[in-house]
Amino acid sequence: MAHLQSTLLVLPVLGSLAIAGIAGAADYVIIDLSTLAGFDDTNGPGSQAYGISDDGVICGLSVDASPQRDLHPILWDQSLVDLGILGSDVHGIAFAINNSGVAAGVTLTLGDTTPQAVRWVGVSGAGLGTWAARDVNEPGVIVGEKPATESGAWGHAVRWTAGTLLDLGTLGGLHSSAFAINDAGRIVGHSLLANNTTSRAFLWQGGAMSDLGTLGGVRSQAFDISNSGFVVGVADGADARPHAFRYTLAANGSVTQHTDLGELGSGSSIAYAVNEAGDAVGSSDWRAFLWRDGVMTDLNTAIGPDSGWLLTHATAINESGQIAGRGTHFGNPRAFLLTPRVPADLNGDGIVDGADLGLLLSAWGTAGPEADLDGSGVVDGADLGLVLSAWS
Amino acid sequence: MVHARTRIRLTLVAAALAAGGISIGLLGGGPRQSAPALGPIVVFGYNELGMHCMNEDFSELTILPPFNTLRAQVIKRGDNPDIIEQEAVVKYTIPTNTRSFDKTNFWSYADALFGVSLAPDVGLTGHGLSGTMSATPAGHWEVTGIPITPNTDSGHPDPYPLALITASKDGQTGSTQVVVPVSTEMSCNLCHHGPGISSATDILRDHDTLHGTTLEQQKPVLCASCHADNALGTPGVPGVSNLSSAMHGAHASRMDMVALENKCYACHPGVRTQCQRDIHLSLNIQCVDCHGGMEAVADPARQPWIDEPRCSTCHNRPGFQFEQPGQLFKNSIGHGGVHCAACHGAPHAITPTETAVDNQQAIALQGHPGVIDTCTVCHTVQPQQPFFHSVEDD
Repeated sequence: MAHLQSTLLVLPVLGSLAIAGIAGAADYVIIDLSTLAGFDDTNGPGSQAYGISDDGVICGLSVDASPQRDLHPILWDQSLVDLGILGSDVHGIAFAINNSGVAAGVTLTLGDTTPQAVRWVGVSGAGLGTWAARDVNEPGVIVGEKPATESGAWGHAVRWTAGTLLDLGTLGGLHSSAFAINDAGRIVGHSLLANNTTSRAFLWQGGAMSDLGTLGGVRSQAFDISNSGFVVGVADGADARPHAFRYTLAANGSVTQHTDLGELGSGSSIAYAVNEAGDAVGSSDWRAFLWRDGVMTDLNTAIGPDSGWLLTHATAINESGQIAGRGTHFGNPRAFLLTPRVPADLNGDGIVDGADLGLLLSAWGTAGPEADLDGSGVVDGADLGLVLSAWS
Repeated sequence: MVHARTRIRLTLVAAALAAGGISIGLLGGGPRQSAPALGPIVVFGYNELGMHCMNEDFSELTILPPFNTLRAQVIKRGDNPDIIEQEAVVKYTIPTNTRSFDKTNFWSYADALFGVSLAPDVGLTGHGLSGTMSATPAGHWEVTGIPITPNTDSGHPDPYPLALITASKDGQTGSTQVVVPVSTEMSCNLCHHGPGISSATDILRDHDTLHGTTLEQQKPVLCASCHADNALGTPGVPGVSNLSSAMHGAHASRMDMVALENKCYACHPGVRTQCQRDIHLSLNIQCVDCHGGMEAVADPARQPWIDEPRCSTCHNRPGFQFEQPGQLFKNSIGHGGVHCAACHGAPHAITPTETAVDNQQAIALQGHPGVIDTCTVCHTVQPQQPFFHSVEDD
């Protein structure tokens, strides 16, 4: 699969990001994933990103160009691809993608009770039955939930393995839903307790579902689990306010560390995804955040000023630290991709190329702090070497 | 694309006619399922409007907050069923939608817009996404102001989430599933857009230009703070038209630019949501057939949310009443105090509906969609006397 940096130049969107001089203090290069529609969808979802593979392929949904403004499952790999809708359904979402290019999601009709779980290999989709897929791991095992039925039965978390669907049960209540599975087959999600009111994060491991608890309050939900045993989600604190959490799991599934990730100031936060290093992403106060090494950072402060963006939800993070999510760009709902900026990418366009070399040469011999990549106090041959070594 | 709902329309009409005892041979309806076994208490749930619209983003302008209302009627089954109006515990929960705080920025602006500081996931009346319903003088149980949004916890768009209502009294319980309809689909952007600005900003600028206001400088703006709104109970500013009149009046002459088959869906939810989903739509009765056109709705003498369509405008049958005198359908009772909506469904979701979820309650109670027409849902012994459809009937 082509790497992100190799083809960014062909993206029309970069026209809006062209930077004449050395970029400011932005830590990330941001890409607007646009929509399939070709028009804005201010009062709809526009486009939304839900998953990202390690090579930067994103899955999610986008409004299409139909008069009904249907929502279609999409992949983004340098450009948007419409994965299409199966059968008679109307809408669809690709929720997750693994590093082999297998995506999982759902097609559905609003107000209907029969969503179709879908597995895409590349852009080719196949229905897996009447349930909703939410995540896929590297071995290709998919998890999600069965819907409520017309006879009144509520949906349960399920696991799909090579054509076999397993009901994972609940924590005693009527409903449960699986959100994520790691490569070892550990599954997290949420389930109602027997009172059918309280939602709790669960871990399913070794054939049993266990309650992962809270941060001192009543409710919790888990949304992602890494192979390294980090689980993230949201849990009520003792003050009943929902906070993003990261739990650390032991091999037996017990929680060895409960970490409250804090907030950006609103009194609430939620974490949607975590990578192997334990970096978590989510939303607090309607602003996307990255939590790393104990610090929650508002990602809006990491993309430079006057971008027109409000990043509201960071929903996925890969092993390269690329972050996918959604926000608004000049008021229009859009999915985004954030790629950590390489210092040698002086103009912040996502690639290190002749434009950056030109900027470095123009600052040659000066103290130009942005081009002084090694911090020696002068822009010189050592800095040139760093640019060339990072050449895209 | 032809939506799936359209494809099932004939089936639903067949079911409706079947429910009314009309032959469906030509329409090919299938046999009814046998009625499910029911416990000692039966619960009917319904939403009082059939749809609650809300803004998702409150940072610039607000028309409606997240505010849903659920009602339930609880009946102790028996030869002569009793409506349980008090001394029961009636709870609600929405299993697929247990949080809202990250699905809208309402809680960041509630204080500025409504003057109240709310904890996350708590609505304007103090109720959350689960809790206890209260008895009302009208004989039903109710919770108002549920701050639900149209997105499930799993991330699906879902304007028709199902609530679970459970009633218990004297050790006996009953439950039902009912839709809590909600949508953010107000497609202002069909007309209001501009380079580098949001639809909300475009709207506020237009308002400032046309009316000499400075709303763009006053974000966040609550429209009902100046325009009286019966939905929110705001008195408005004297001399300023009510919100419904202002909105419909200002846009009535501009709808030609909206290329939608049903132009109501330009503002009301919506081309995706299709909130009018009931048997009337199945019979090709459109929004304007009951509500009138925009000019009629904009009549300043009309009381929005109060002067609404009357069932008896079209429905009449000797010996039958189709709503109480002076009451809207949503508040009317008949058949011994049973609310009309308990058997027929919510306004805009009169069963059988084109949405499967709205039919779910009837199917669970009597084995088939449509009006509750199976006497033994409540009566443990099939009544011998004929059914009457009036307030006086018992």
